[in-house]
Amino acid sequence: MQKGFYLDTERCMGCHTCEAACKNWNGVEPKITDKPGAQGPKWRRVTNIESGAYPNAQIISVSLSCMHCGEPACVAVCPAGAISKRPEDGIVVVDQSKCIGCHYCFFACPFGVPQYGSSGTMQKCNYCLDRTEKGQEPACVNSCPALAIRAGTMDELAKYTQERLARQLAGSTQPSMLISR
Amino acid sequence: MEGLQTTWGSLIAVYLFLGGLGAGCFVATAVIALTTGERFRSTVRFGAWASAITIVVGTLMLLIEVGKPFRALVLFNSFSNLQSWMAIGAWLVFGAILFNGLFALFWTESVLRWAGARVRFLEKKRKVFRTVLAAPGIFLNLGVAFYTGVLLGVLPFRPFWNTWWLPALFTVSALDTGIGLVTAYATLRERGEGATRLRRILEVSVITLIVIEGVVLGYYLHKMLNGSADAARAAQLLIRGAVSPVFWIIVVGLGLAVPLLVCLSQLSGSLRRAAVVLPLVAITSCLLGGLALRFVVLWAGIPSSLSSPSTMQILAGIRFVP
Repeated sequence: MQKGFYLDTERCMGCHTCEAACKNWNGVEPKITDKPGAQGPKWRRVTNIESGAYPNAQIISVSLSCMHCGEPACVAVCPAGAISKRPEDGIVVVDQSKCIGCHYCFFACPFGVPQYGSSGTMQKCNYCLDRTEKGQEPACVNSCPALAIRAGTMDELAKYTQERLARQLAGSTQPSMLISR
Repeated sequence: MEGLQTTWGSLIAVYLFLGGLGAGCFVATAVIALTTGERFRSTVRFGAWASAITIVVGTLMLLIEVGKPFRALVLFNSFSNLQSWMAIGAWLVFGAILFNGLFALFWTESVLRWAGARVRFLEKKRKVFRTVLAAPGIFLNLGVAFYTGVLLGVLPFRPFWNTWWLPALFTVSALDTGIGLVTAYATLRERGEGATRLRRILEVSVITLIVIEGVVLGYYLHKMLNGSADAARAAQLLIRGAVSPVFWIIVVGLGLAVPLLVCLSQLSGSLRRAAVVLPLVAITSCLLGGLALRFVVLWAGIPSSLSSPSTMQILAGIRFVP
């Protein structure tokens, strides 16, 4: 049963709490260089998207992580076979002990998801398996003050297509991500 | 370097260049060895060592670039997914190092004498060994040259790379730089019977390959300019954007025009007096052009902006809004 995320862009206010909670829970290093503004790897990223012009200007915030694609491009190109898709829930995971840090997955991923820290190996969202396997929500979902991010099986998330006019992201890799506008 | 692809930087560019150079060099050398035997052994020995050393140095560049170089050295673990071109390439490169290295050893008299004193048939059957290494080695090295382009060419979300014209371009460039290097050496060192003929054949090959490279490069850029908006944006970087000085001056000027003119003048015999300087100028210029080609192609490998309507538009923004 494929699991994935749903994002409600009307609820997301760009507070970056999910980013911080993700980094905190997963012990992602805060920065890898001393350059001003360096932020280190991010397994979840919030981006503000501006569109239109005054008086019809609009800004929306979008929080995205790995999409745990149905046909993940990263898995196919990894020379070491370090990335795999779990058959039971479709979560795409990285075996840190196999990754050689060649960055090939970074180029294959259409969303720029793979990140590299000071260890040199690839890291990304693992759907907080240490939480979700115990029945808890992923850290991002748990921390969002606006309930903008939801996690679940794609069947469970499908209700948002009715309620919130959410749509699954299109793409050859079949991202497991629903998003509303 | 804003707006350019820099995740894969200089070391990967050097790796792709040296891999191609070594492969091209081996192809030229092996063909000379197979067709002329011992006659041009100095050139063959030079080409064999050059092809082995360049590929080894190139591979070292790759190893320095990856996050876990020592882990990467365990080939059968780290390159076990043979659906990945990175893994296929690693095995091709490994094979080329083995073949080119052995080929070089079998063309080095002192090594042969040393080995022959211990295992006699190694020296006695040197011709057989040389042939057995040269013939399959040509295909292996052509594979390496092609792979340096396929590695980038199979990535669908990098529009400037995602075409079979890229491996074609890199293969032709690998051959003209490799054959160019052998030509320069042969021009400077080979004298006596047959040397003029060898030089002429090599010069004609280099001229032909440079013309083919020019045509392939032109068609590749034409395809990109008339392709998707992302591909055209990337191609514009080369033609009049941030990397255009490198592209026009080094890739086109030094890499194609200078060696072409030198080879043509050498062939026509009009500049024979500058016989030592010209081949050196031509090959240096040709190698710089080949190296710069890998740099500009890597820089232009910017991601596609997923420009389909609706929700994908949101993601398009994400990739470019800081």
